Amino acid sequence: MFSSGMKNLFRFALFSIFAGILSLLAGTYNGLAIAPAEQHMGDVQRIMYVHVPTAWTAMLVLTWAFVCALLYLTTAGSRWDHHLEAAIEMSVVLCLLLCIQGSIWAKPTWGVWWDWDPRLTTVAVLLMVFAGISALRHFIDEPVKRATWSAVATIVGYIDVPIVYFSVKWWNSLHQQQSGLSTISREFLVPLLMNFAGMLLLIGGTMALRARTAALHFQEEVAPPPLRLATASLKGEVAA
Amino acid sequence: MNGVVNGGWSFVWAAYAVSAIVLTAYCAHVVNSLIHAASAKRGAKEMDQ
Repeated sequence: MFSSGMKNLFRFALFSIFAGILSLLAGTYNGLAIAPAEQHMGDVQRIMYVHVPTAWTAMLVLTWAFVCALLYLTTAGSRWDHHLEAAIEMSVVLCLLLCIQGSIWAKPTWGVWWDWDPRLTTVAVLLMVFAGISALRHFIDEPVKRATWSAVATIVGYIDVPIVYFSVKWWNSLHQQQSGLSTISREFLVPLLMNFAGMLLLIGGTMALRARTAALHFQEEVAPPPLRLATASLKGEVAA
Repeated sequence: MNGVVNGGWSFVWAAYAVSAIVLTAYCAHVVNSLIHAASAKRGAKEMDQ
């Protein structure tokens, strides 16, 4: 079904996804069954072991999208657009997950599912912006125009990422400020880092496959089917 | 009201379940799309030959 290069990529990505799932299972078991409950939030704090790795991974994926957008605009290499497509789509998935997980955590701790708090609002804006860029890509048929426009839109949209990060420091926010590695106890840190490693491997493998799919669609676009059909019909006439 | 959240396991399970479902569904979609795109490319290549 696949060429040898593609088989290698597929194997590597599947290995990464499989290792990611194992790490996530181990981290989740550690976070739910071994780590102690937090003093004030009790067991609800265990949501942190999935919410924080999702947030860290989302920030990295968004930064990767920004890097791919810059590289596309400077080199015009189509492979950067394929990686950009994968990163934009993954950013939407991760920002959506962040909003859902945050909402589930907010209900028992803040008493509401949603609040127009600076952190929540800026993440919601990020979700809307990248969902919009993803939709934009579907509306533009011309590959170069699509890649250029989405790269520019990604660079503009990325402005919201540092705002998300600093929102809890700049404004009075319900959301707690970032904890550092020195302020988290070891029992909490182990499941957190295991889930972060798992999330990175899972997301990295999935994005590699998604970028490859984008590359295949691009090849199909630049060699449109009518040309192949015409060639096939010509061959048929010659044979006849 | 003592400032401590009691219980809440249902919220914990909900957060993990939603995360697992969303990530699994997206990964499956990506793998499926790649298999379809690779099959289409192979079909086109065979037609060219």
